[in-house]
Amino acid sequence: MPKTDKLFSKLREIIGEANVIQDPDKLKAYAIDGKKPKVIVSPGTIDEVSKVVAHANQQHLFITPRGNGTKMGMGGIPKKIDIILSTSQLNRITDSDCENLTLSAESGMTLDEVQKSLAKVGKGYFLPLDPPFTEKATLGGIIATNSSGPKRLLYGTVRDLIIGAKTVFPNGDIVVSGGKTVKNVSGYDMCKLLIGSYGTLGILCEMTFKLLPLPEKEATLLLSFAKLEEADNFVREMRGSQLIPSSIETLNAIAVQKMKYAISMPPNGNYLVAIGLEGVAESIDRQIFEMSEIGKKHGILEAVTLYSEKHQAFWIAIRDFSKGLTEKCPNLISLKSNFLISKSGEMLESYEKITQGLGIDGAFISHAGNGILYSYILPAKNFRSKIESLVELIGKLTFEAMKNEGNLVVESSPLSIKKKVDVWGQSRSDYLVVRRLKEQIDPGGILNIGRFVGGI
Amino acid sequence: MKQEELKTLLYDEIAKCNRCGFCLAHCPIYTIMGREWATPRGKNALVRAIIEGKIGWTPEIEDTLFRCTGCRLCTQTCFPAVETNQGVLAGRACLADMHQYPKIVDRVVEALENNFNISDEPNEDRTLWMDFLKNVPEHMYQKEKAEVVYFVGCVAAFFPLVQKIPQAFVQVLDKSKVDFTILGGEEWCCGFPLIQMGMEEKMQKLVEHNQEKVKQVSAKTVVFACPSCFHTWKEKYNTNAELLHSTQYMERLINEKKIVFNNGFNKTVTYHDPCDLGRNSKVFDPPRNILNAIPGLKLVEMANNRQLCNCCGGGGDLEMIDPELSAAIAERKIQEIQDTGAEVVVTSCQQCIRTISGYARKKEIDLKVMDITEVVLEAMGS
Amino acid sequence: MDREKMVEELVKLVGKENVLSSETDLYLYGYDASLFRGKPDCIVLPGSTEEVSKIVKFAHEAGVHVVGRGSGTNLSGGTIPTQGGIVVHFSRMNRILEIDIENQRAVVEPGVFTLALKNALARYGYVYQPDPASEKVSTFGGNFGENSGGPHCLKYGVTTNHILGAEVVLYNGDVVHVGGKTLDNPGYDLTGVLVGSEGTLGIATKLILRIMPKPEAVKTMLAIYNTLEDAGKTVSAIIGDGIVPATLEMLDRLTIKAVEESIHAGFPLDAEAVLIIELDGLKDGMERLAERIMEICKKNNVREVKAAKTEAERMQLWAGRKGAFGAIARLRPNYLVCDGTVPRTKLPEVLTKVMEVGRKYDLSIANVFHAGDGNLHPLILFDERNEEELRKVHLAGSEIMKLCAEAGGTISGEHGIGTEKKKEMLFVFTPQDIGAMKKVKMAFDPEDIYNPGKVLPEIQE
Repeated sequence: MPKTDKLFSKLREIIGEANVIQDPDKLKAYAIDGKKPKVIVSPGTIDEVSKVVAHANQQHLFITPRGNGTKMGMGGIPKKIDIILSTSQLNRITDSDCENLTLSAESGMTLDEVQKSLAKVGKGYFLPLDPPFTEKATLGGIIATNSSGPKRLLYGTVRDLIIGAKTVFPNGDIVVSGGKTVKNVSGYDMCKLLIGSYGTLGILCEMTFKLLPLPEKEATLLLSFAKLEEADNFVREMRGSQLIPSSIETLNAIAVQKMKYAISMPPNGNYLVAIGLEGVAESIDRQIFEMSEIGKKHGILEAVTLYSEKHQAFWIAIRDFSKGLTEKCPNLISLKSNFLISKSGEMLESYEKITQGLGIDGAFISHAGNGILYSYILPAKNFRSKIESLVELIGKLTFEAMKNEGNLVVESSPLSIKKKVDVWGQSRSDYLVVRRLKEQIDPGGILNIGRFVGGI
Repeated sequence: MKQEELKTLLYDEIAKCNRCGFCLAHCPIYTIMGREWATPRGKNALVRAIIEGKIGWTPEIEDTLFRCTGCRLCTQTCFPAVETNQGVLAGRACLADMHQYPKIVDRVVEALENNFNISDEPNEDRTLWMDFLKNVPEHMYQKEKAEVVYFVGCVAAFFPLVQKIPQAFVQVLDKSKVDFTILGGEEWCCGFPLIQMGMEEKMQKLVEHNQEKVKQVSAKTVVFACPSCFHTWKEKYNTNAELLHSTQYMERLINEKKIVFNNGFNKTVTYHDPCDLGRNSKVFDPPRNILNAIPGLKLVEMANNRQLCNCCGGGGDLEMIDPELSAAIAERKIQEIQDTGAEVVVTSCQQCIRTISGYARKKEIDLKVMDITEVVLEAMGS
Repeated sequence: MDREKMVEELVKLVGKENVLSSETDLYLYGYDASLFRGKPDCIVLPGSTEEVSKIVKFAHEAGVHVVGRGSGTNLSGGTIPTQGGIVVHFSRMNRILEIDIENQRAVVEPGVFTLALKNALARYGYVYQPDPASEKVSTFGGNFGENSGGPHCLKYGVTTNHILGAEVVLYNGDVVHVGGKTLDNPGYDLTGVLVGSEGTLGIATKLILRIMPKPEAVKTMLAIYNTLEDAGKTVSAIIGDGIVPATLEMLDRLTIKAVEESIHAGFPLDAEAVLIIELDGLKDGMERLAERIMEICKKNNVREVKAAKTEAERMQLWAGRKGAFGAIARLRPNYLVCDGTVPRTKLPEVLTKVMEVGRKYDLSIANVFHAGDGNLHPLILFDERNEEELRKVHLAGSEIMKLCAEAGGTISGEHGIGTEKKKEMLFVFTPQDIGAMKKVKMAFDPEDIYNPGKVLPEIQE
């Protein structure tokens, strides 16, 4: 028996024949940046994950964890993949305790499944996260990539919501961090380390989250402006006010254009500010009124209010913005920039100018209350001849973000671009600690090698 | 005081300190020094360590115990209300017993023994402040019998910067037709500095003398413009006479329509509560009632006022022991005063005036500091 | 290294006046607000990041431990130099460096008092949300080290949710920046790991904080109960009804007595328990929510619900709550506060067991707690001068930790593990869990320079 076969037969022993896939066609579908895995395993319990990982560690096999594959294009090019560890069979809610506003679930569950189950309890509860592709994205993937959405303005991100985790470390240890109490300072806050770590430190198996009761009422206020300056002034006033929107998004005309399938009657104008509202019923009505009044001061062209299905559809369209695009534009480049909150307007302006200057279309959606801007670069047909200028573009955009104390991460791009840029942007002074953490926790270097910051 | 007495008197009190550290936010000494020894918690811990024999009387303990303004803001803000200042004073008494204290203490004690006042001047000079006063009656405010004794106090009598207080106050009393006298050269120090230096047993002679003099005059009331004299009399003297601070007495005169404000005082003022008058004697309302009764005067409070008023830096004879530290506390006080936007800071203590205006003058800060007696006199007009 | 030499070297770095080494000073830096004692080799008061970096570099080269300290209000012995070394006291680094309203951030040095920043922010109509009871004196360095909580953390989260970045001096004196004013910086969330690491991973010399506009409206209610159980049930019922107030605090009879002897907060002496319930946010619908809460209180046999009518009344209620620990000394000189946390529905059950522990050891226990987040603070009363009592107190404390852990909770909600609860860590964590934490310690501080002997128990590896 060839050596690799021997290694993989051990896997079959651990998790059973049916959960180990070696069919070459299937393996091809799981390739990341052209790197094909040798085997796909789907353990059904945390113990099995532990055994698989311990085995891989002993044999020095490279593991890349995977949920539903919505984020496999993110991160750097993997160094090598022996095993794809799928969490698809870790898909149970292990403790739904709405009375205590906590939920524990396994990492392979999709967020939508979780939300549906929570909505049915009592007056209804939810996990206040709204990252892209919630119908497919798994909890594990969302946490490993620190995925978030527009509502982060009000509810924060994974780091504000996760209170416990069960993780399999590279040596196979099952490590429990935190617990199910909302306050917990017993030992180091290991959960924080795992958030956004791209599976480089451990395999997330089970997590505990803080929940909230569903809001009484929700609505969307869409305001359109002719000039970016007007939109930005409006947003500035929003941020400084005592009003409590759940999201403030600013979109440029191209972004609005691409979203037309979702919004039947988009307000006319070059810039759209979308405000999400949720909370006590009375407060929604008043905020819509007051915000519209403030908008008038700053020269709104049109105001539209959305409720129920239309409201929901709008936010799904924002969150899943890239979904519609990838099919039409296979060479789509998605970028995420962060910067000082007050620079939201200036950043959008400079990004528009830079892309226009290079004759490239860019759709921009800004979390204007958080200082985060998503850029969707839509290269025209002759992509191959444009690679150099796209690389130059990414450099320029990164520079703009850095000027404002931020950075730029390439979230997805064709491999040809990935090869020429550091998808993680400019490296930071704390990198030496980041590297030491990786070395301490994964001394064999088996977990998701190559995809994280600094090639970790 | 001996160490054994320290235990009997204060062990239980000091043991109430559970080191929560809330006092650090308030203590003027810690605010400046930023070292644990400066904290009330640290002082409690040291006194306790001495009682428990865990530490000896080190030179640092002497430095520590002699750096306390006695403002008692720590006790005020302490939930179990630990009397840190009592521990500090008792500690100083132990140190005195061992002749371990700052050099200046000997000089003060010597002055008190030779001159019966804290200055180096002979005690007859207690009335020199009258030299600058017009229309002084023939009896020079020294009568054989009077209803009221005005006990001037050493600082106001001898230090030029604050002689304006007796100068103003006698005029207020005159204009209000009060039958009063001062004790002149027969007024001796009240003994407050001796308490601060841990030599309380030496004050008995002073106490007895002053009590006797008041008795001889047959005064029903003794009035003080100095909060520390006032507080010392209230705590340590035994007399049938009614003891009032000038603010309490002037409030009474206003109510009796004996003080009438013909002029008013068209300024915005803020009021600083002297520690020995406010927190330590609980006189908060009379000065405010007086100020509010003056036509044209607008009173604005400091961020920390009444029970929470911050010390000026001059309390507990700190100015004498560590002038730099005292000045640094004054600087913060002045900032708080200026934050109110008031044109004048009014207080009712000569030491507070010395500390605040002394610092302002040295640093050329434009700040008007007045004693409440001056404000009243100006508002009365002719 | 002998002390004289150490002092001599440190004096070169920060000046004579900023190095303390007399026996008296060593005694004074040997305690905090816990029951533990230690003794440092000397104390240094740095004035800048550069000085901190030099001190740590020196300590690293000399193989000397370094323990950071703010106001020394730590309740778990986290600031105690149990293995000697240099105590770095941050009282001189107490500047608010920046209040950046338009980016909703503040930058402070570690020695700034929490309340000092809040007062400065009030001028702009802004707030920093976490509110540890000791906020008037707790420093940001301490909040950072302990991941401090406070009543309003029920709605707004704890310190870690409000610290977005820091300048950190590593074990060898290197200075790095973690996180920042901006969100989602790529790389591991080192800020998140450092917060709550009790000074064992690094020393923060600058902190970047999230600040936000002050809520438009606030409503504070005092609900008075004849039984502790009814008060406990109300807490679960409010949350169960879909309302998450800003605070849900509970005080029991003994605590009420101590508080009322200290200040008149307005808690009735004959009540078995009171709840302080505060709503904040937009004014719309607040009255309706308040009424719903009152209904829930009534259903759970409340005796009376009083709303604070003025800001002064509200402040007084909070002053009573915030001073509750200190006030306990009115009853007995010392207390041990157990900081256990349980799922909030378990509160009534755990509380009963806590009181049983008190009876078992013949110790009085007063209770103040963040009921909304299930964070108990049983205060065991005693006099530390009585050694037998002290011994019993530690046993009782450990037993209370155990029963919190058994109820699905944990042994510390906000005060930290420090020196006090190291062995109890094994009530909630396996050796594997601890082993993982040790790896983190090794990555940050491989030579165990920072705050040795804290947080992590010894385990067989």
